[in-house]
Amino acid sequence: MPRQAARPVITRLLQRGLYGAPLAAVAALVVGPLAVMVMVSFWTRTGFSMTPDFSLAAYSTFLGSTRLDILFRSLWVAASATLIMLLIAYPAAFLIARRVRTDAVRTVLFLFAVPFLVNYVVRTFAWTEILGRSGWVNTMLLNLGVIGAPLDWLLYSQFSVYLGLITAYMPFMVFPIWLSLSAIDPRLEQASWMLGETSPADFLADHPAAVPARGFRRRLVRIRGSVW
Amino acid sequence: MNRNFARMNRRQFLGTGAALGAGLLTAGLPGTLLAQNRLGVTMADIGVGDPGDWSRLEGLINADINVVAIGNSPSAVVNQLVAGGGRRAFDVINIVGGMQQPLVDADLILPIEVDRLSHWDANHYIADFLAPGTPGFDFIGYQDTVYGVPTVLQADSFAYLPDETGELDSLGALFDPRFRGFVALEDNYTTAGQKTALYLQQSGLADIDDPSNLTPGELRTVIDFLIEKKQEGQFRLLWSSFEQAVQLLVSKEVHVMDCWEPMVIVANQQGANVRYAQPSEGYLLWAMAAYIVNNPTRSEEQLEATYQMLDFMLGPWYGATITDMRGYMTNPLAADFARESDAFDQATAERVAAIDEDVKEKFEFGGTWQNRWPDEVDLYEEEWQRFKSA
Repeated sequence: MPRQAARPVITRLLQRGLYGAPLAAVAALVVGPLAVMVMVSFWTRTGFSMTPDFSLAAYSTFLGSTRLDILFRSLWVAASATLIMLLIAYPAAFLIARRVRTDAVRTVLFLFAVPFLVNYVVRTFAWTEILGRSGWVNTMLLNLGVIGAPLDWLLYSQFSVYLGLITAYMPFMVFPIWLSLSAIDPRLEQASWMLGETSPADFLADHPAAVPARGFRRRLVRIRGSVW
Repeated sequence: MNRNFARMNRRQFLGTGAALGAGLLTAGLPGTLLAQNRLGVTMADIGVGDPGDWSRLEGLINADINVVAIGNSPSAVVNQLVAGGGRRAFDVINIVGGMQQPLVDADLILPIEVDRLSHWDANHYIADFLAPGTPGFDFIGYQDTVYGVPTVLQADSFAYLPDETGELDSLGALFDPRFRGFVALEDNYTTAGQKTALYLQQSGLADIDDPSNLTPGELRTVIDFLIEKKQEGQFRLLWSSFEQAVQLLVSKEVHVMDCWEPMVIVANQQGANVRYAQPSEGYLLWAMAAYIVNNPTRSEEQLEATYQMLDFMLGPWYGATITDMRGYMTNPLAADFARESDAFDQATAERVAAIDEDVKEKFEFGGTWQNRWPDEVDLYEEEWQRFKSA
């Protein structure tokens, strides 16, 4: 009897160890360094080293300097860029999921992935060739007589920052939204239409299956955007 | 073959493996030992001190020369040495000088024993421009001790496109409303910030005692001026890499740019018509210094090889090659060597001599010595961030 009772205990311990090991690894590799960073943030700087102390000097410097403005600006750019991406990515994903022929879907999705075959830095620098004063866009518009002088705001501007972010990260949003929308049974759309929903797009926008992907993508893109 | 292999028993297999391993080990051993005997000297360089061919030196000192890249900003250099493993990885760092104070205080570099450098005494540029007691000494020395070997001397101003702007001879061009939106500055307070301070001082627009070492009040005046100009749309961008700066000139994206002379040389080689200005306010004077990194595990043999490398960098071939490649003045032996040696053709020798004379004239004209580590360095960092984020 005691031997029989011991077996579930060992099993439970093994299970806990199995679940606990990854948690311990995450704690050691992620939470640990963060905790050290928090601790060091209260130390005082002496030359190129830090001296253990309890000082709020680092926080005072951070809150009293332009870094806070830069942080808020980065958050705003990340949030607004994410919103713009969502406005573009959701219809794009919807069209791929519902309007593109099944045999052409893979090709279309591949086209979205093509930019990733080029290094991110090269892709970003390539915009200077396209948007510069003597770049392709300005040259074309000048040759067509649409403008009399190069457009300065195309490059080194808020516009170019948003363009760089959106073109770099929007595919990250398109893929999971498309995946979620593809998983929704088309018969549910038909049923909703029969029950009074005016358009399939409205139905899909409200469908709970599409929500998690949007949320996840927003968070991912915001994290990437805040790096800028 | 497969059948024979299949017939091998375990003992035969292990024996054959051991024999093969021993054979390979023996064959490879002399090469390995040879490689271990051959020294390697590693220099971290900001990108302008590598002549590309070190075979002349490698043949002399039985050592391989490795050149790796390092950033030039003061914080990047210190970070690389303090936290980036640079103390063990590098023998020499060849950067814009003036970094002795933080590097010595943190015990990151060694004093230079100038007696071990055969070209030191022959280099009268050191006595002319970098002598103790002059501002130039701050580029190689600290507290009366020499820590850096001056490999390059140069005087900086700004570039312009004469076809677009006409002739320019004042740092005021960087802030002239006629060029609004067509000006770029370097993202560096020790260059762009100090040139601005020099302009404000010389033009009487601000009361500045020493543009190379601003007080907190003077620094705020300079940054406020830059912010005002930035908000008026004067600056197209702040550049941060060599290639980017060259491209800005070649594509005519900007017409006036605070930059280094080698960028002008490369832009002209790419077909642009770019000039490097001779500003009436004076130049930003500076010198590159090669420092010996304080690696406590370095052997005396390795240190000797490092000194031989530094001596080579004070020598005529290295000097002439760098002058030809970068447009910098290097050492007094370079021009004569280029003229007399078969290593350079006549046109190159004339160019080297012309550059040498040109830079000497700039030094005689004067200006402000660049200060890489001003007294208020933390405030400089903070204020430059304020300018960038404005």
